[in-house]
This record gives sequence, structure tokens and C-alpha cells, in this order.
Amino acid sequence: MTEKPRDPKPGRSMPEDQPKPPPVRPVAEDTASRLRELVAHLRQNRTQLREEWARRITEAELLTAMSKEEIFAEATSVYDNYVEVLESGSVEALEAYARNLSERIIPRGVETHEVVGIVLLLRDVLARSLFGKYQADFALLNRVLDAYEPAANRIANTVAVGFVQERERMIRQFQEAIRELSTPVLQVRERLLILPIIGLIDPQRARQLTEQLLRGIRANRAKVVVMDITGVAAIDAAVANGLVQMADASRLMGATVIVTGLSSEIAQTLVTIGVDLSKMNTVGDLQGGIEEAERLLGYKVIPQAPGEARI
Amino acid sequence: MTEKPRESKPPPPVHPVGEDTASPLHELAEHLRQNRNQLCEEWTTRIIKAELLTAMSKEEIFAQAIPVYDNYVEALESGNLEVLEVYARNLSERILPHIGVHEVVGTLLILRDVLARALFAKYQADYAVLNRVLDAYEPAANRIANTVVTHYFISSVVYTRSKKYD
Repeated sequence: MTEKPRDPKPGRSMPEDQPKPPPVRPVAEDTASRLRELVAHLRQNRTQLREEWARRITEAELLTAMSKEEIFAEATSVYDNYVEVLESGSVEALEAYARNLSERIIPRGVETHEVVGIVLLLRDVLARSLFGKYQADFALLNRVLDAYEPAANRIANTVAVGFVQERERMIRQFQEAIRELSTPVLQVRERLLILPIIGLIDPQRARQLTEQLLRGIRANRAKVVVMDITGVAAIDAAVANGLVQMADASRLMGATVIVTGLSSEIAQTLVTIGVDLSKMNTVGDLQGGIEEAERLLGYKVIPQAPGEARI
Repeated sequence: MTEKPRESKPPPPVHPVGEDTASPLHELAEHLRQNRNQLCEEWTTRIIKAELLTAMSKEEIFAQAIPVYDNYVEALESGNLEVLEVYARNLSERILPHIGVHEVVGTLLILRDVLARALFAKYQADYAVLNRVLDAYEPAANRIANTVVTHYFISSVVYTRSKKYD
């Protein structure tokens, strides 16, 4: 839990959905000197401050997916990285640190509001510590805060935005994996594929289905595809047209598509919205679809006489 | 047919403000109202210095800052975040394509800094009182910042996904 931030993964930059916080500029000598003084103070009071921070995290009911020991270990890691980044001002180290933190805590079920919450609590703990240290000299406190606040805000901002971006990236990755798993193209006989579709079909999934089906047709040199939509509750005009286009594309690659398992609701919808299904073969159920496919491929199923059956 | 994007959970609901924290919060809200113009000016200046909200002029930033500040103070005093939630939603609808999430987070962090310094200035002579005021202020202010930021994050994610599916 106390690992140092890793270098950014090769070929993987921060997601582009949101612009990043502005880059860090070289700090003026006075600011740099105040930051060094501040960093020394934070290192000197490390034990007490991170304990106070961990206590406040628990009190605010944040990071509830973690035990008290885990919170303390995480707080230690974050605190040390925080101070290091405060001292170096390195954007790369900061981004790596934010990504590393997100990668560790997202799988633990930590939510966005918890990350924002713990970052704000750390700022509170450190601000109070600074006021305690400089309470006798308000002008000096203000100069220290002039150096501290922009640097601390940059860290907080990068961590919070980085967390949301990393979370989004992981969700997209999971969605991709789920889609891959939910659209298998199965070969049941030579040149015969089955494409069972279950669940909602949105335009994105329809595109992916088409891609996988066409890849499957090419790889298996398929002549007939049975697309079973028994597990699809509803489709709209856009998706229905997508299915028609899928059949057209399959035909161009030399395969005939048979659609099976149309529910009465979907059949009525297709008629109502006027989708041109004349190019598609439709058969009531999957078994009928496979029989029709075998017929098209020239297979003939002949029952064996008793005694001929092989075990 | 487009799937509903998965959203991050919003922050937990507000706990009722205790009697001992309610009083400092009223006093604090009064102080913030009294110094409204000066603090909003300071907030605006710092936003510009931090190169945030660069799509807006100084006057526009100040004009936007005033209602946010007023809602902020009201939420701080009452503990009712509904106004801010509605405001965050409206704000995101208006500014999302133009203003990045890091700018919204940045401006809120700066507001916290401006207000914290105002408190340090007011209570610098009495460290114990300052700590009591901060005990009341910090949780309330964090709840507000977290609510606005999380709502903006959610809106931003929904917006980005809807653009991708277009």
C-alpha cells in the first residue's frame, strides 16, 4: 500500500475527455523558499498530521470500504507523495501519483465524493497546522499561504480530475469486456455460425455485433449465419435498420443470415416502423433456424435405425 | 436505446447541524455576507491569476461569482444543499462544453482559500475560537464543495458519453 508512483504506462496518456489543469510554471525564489520551509514542517510533523488526517477521514465516514489500518496505510502513502510533489512541483510525478492512487482505490469501490472529501480534509488539516505554526505572525502566514495554496490546489485538482478520468477509463474497459463476452459468434457446423444475442442492443453494440460477425464469417468461411434474438426484449428503428445492414454486409461476404426468435412485440414494432425485412430470412425459433441453415448448406439429417445408434 | 451512463454516487446526505455548530455557522455566514463584495472581488482576482475560466472576462467571472457566493453562504448557514445541487446542475448545463471540470474544481478550491483566510484574519487573536469556528465551518464547506464538484463531474461524464454516442 505504500508503493511509490510508477512511471506512466507506455503509450497510455491521460484520457482526453477533459482538459488538464494548466502546467506548472517555475516558481519564484521567494515562493520556492516558502515551499521548502513548508515541506520541512510537514515532514517534521508527519506522524501527527497523518494521524489527524486518518482520524478525520474515519470521522467523516469516508473510505468506508477500507479498514482503519488500510486507511492509515493509504493516508501515509498519499501524505508522503503529496509532500514530495509539493516540494518538486513535478507534473509528471503528480499525474503518475494520481493515476497510481486511482488504480489502487477504484477497485476497492472508492467513490468520487470520497476522493474529493479526503483531499479537502488533508487541506484542512494542513491549513490548521500552518495557522498553528504562524499564528504569531499573520503577515508571514499569508506569504506561506501564497506559496502553499496554488501548489496544493493543483495537487487536489489533478488527483480529483485524474480519479474521475481513470474511473471512466476503467468503466469503458469493463464495458468493452462485457460486450465482447456478450456477443459470441459460434461455429456449430462447417460453414454455419450462430450469433445468439441477449440483452439491450444500442447503436454501439449493433456496430460491434456487425464487426464480430463479419470477422467470424471470414475466419470460418461461413455460408449461413443464424442470428437468434430470443433474448432481446425490444429494438427501435435505428437498431432494426442496423440488423438489416448487418444482413446486407454478410451477404456481400457470401453468407446468408437467418433471424430467429423474433418476439411478437418486436415483430409488431418492425411492421409499425416499416423496416424493410424482405432481404432477411426469418424463422420462428432457433431449432427451426438451424434446420433451415442445414437445408441451405445441403445437410440432411437422417434418423438412424434402432441398433445402428452409436454410443 | 442508448444505455444510461453509470453515474458516481453523490455525496451522502447532510446530517442535521448540531446546536453547538449552528451558532458559529450563523456568525460566520453573517461575517461572509458583510464582506461579500470584497471577498467576491478577491475570489475573482485569484481565479484570473490562476488562469481559470479563461473563456470569460473579469466582469463575467464576477457576475457569475456573486450568485455562487450567495448560494454558498446560504447553504453554509442552513445546511440545505438542494439550492446548490440545482445550481450545479443549471451551471453544468450552461457551461459544460466551454468550461473544464478542473476549472470548476479549481474555482471552488480558491473560494475555500479566500474564505479560510478571511476566517484567519477575523480570529487571528484567538486561536481557540478560530479552531471552534473551523470545526463548524470545515465539514459544512467540504460538503458544499463536494456536492458541487460531484454533480459537475456526473454531468460532465454524462455529457461526454452522450457526445460519444451521437
